[in-house]
Amino acid sequence: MKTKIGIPRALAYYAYYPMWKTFFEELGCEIVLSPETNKEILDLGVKEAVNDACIPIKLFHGHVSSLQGKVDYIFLPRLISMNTERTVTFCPKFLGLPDMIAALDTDLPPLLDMRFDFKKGKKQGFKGFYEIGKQLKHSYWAIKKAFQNALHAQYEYEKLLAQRVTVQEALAYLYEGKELSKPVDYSLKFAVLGYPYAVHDRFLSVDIINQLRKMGVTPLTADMVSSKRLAAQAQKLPKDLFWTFSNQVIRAALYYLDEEKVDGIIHVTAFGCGPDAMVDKLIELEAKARGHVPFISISVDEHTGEAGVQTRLEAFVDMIKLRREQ
Amino acid sequence: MYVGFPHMGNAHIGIRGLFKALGILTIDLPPVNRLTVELGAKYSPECSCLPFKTVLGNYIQALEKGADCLIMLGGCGPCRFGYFGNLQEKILRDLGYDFKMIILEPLDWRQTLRQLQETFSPVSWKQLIYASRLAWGKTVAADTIESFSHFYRARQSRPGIITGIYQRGLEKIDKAYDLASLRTIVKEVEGEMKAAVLPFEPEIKIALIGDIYTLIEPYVNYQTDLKLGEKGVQVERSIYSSRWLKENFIPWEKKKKRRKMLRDAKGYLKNMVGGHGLDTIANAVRYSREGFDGIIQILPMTCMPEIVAESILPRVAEDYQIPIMSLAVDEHSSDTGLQTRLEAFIDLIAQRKKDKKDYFLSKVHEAS
Ligand code: SF4
Ligand code: SF4
Repeated sequence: MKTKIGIPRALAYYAYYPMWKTFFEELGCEIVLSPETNKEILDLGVKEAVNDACIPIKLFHGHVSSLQGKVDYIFLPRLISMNTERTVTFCPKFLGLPDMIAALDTDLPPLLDMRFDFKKGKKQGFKGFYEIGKQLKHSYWAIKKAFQNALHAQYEYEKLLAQRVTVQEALAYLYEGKELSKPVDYSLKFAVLGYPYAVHDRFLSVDIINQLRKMGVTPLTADMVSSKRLAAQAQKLPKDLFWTFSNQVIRAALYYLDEEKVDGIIHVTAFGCGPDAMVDKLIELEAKARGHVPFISISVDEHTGEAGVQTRLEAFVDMIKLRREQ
Repeated sequence: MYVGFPHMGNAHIGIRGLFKALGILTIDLPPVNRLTVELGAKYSPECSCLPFKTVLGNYIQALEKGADCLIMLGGCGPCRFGYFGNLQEKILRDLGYDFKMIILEPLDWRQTLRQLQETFSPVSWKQLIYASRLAWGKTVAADTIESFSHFYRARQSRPGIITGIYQRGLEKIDKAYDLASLRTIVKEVEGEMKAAVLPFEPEIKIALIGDIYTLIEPYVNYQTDLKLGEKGVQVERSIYSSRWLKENFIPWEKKKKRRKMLRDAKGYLKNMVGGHGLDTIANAVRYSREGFDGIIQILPMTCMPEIVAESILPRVAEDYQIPIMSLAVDEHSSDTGLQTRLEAFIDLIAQRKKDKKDYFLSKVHEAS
C-alpha cells in the first residue's frame, strides 16, 4: 500500500504545491489534500488555534485537523528561506508553524516537519528533502532524483504563472486536467496584491479574482510577475522587508506602479496580519507618492461576507471608470 | 541639532546620558503617556503592534517639541522591529515633517560610527568611550534598582514605599555624571529598600515573560509588575534593557544566548521566530523548573513571535503543571480589565497552593 501524505491546502500550499507533490509522488507516496477551505474548516481552525492568531493560521489549523484519521503522515513544511537573499525569511508564524501544530492537544498522525532552507543554495535546500526521504526509508539517489524533479515542476509552475495564469487555474490545469482558458483582456487592469493564501483561497478572499472579472476588470496578481522583474524593483526601497511573500507583494506593487501601469491597486490582507500592517502602509505611501493610481485595501477575516466585499469593489471600479471619463 | 528618541521604560536614562556626554542636544520627553499612544495609534497602521504605535507617538511628540533628528535602532527581522524606523520615517515625511533620520543597525559598528560622525560634530574616541561607559553604567544601575523593586515591593511595610524609593533612585541615576557615584546610588537605594520591608517571605512568586517592549514600558503593560508587587507577589521579569543591549551588540553574547534559548526550549520550539518568541518559551520552561508559582506572558496584539509562543505555552503549562496566562495588550485595553484578570490569576494560584497543602496534610494525617 502506498504511504499517504496529507497536505493542508493552506498557507504555502498555493506557492509551492507542485514542488511538494512531485517530490512525494516520485517517492511513491500518495497525496491526500485537505478540501478547499469551507465553513467547517474555518470553524475547526477557530476552535483549535489561539484566539490572537491571524485567520490564515487559524485556517491552517483547520486544514490540518481535517486530515486527521485519513493519512499516515501530515506534511508540515517549515519555510526558512526559498531563495538566496541573505536577509529575507518568512513570517515568524511560518518559522514556528510545526511547533504550533505539535503543541495541539489533538491526536494527529506523525508530522513530517521539514525545513526549507535555500539560503545557501540548492545543496543546502536538499538537506530538508533528504531528511524527509530518509524518514520514509528511501535511498539517497531516489531522493535526489525526486528532488530534482520537484524543482523542475516548481519551475514549470512559476513559468505558467508568469504567463498570466492565476494560481487556481494553473493548479487545475496541471493536476485536474482542466484546459487553460484564454485570458480575456478587459479595458480595466487592476493589480490584486496579497499573500497567495489570502488572494487565492477562494473562501477567504470571497473569490475576489472572479468577482473582478465579472465586473469587467482584468486582475493581475503578484505571482504573475517573474522573479527577475520583481528583483529589479528591490532597490527602490530603503531596506528589504524580512518576509518573502511580503517582498513579493511590495515589489509587485512597485512593478505595477512604475513598469506596467495598472488602473488601480487592491491589497488583500488578512485581518490581524503582522507583516501586512507594514506592507499595506508601504503600498499606500508609494501609490500616493506617485499620485495617479487609486489604492484600496480589503481586509478579510472570518466574518467577511461576499456582499460586503462586492459593494466595496463595485464602488472602487465605478470611481475609476468615472475618473477615466473625465 | 536636537535629537529625539523613543522611550522604553528606563532606557531613556542611559540614552540621554550617552548624548549628553557627547555634547549632543536632546529633546526630553515625558514618560510614555496617553497622548503618546493616541498620537501613535492615529497615524500607524491599525494592525501594527503597540510598540510601533508608541514609538511613532514619541517621534511626533519630539518633532513637535523641535527635534530635527530622530534616532532609532534597526534590526534584521523576522519580527517587525527592524523595519520600524524605515516605515516611520516615511509616515512622518508624509505628515509633512522635515528631519534627519538615523537608523543604527546592531552589529554594524563601523556604519554606526560613521553615521554619528557625519551628523554630529566629530567626537574623539576618548569621548566616545567615556560616554558609552557612563551610559552603560546608568542603564545597568537603573535596571538593578528596578529588579530590587520587584523583590522588595512584595515585602514592603506600607504600600507605595518601595516605589517611592525606586523613583527617587532613578532621578539620581539620571543626574549622576560618573561611575563611582552610580555605584553609591545603587547601594543607597538597596539600603533604603531593605529598611522599608518586613521580614516575611511572599507566598507567591510570578515570572513575567514576553515581548521586550511591553515588558519594560510600564505604560503599555499597565504597570503589571507594580500591581502584582502591591498585592504582595514577588515578581521576576525575564528581560532588562541592559541585558538586551549586551545580547544584541556583542556577537559572542548573542550566539551564547541563542544556544541557551534553543536548549531550554527543546521539545517545544525548534527555531528562532524573531522578537522574543523563542525566549518566551525558553524562559517559561526555565521559570517552571525554578519553582515559580505562575507565569504571565505579556504580548502586544498582532505580535507574530509572541503569538507563536502563546500557541505553545499551554503545552509547557501542562507538562510542568503551572498556571500560565497570556495578556494581549493594545491601545484599547483597559486598566480595570487587566486588574481583574491579574486578581483572578493570583486567586487561582493561591487556591492551587492551598489545595496542594491540604492534600499533603491529609496524607500526613492518614499516615499517622
Ligand atoms: S504573514 Fe500575516 S497572514 Fe501570513 S502567517 Fe504571518 S501574520 Fe499570518
Ligand atoms: S516582537 Fe512583536 S511587538 Fe515587538 S516589534 Fe516585533 S512584532 Fe512588534
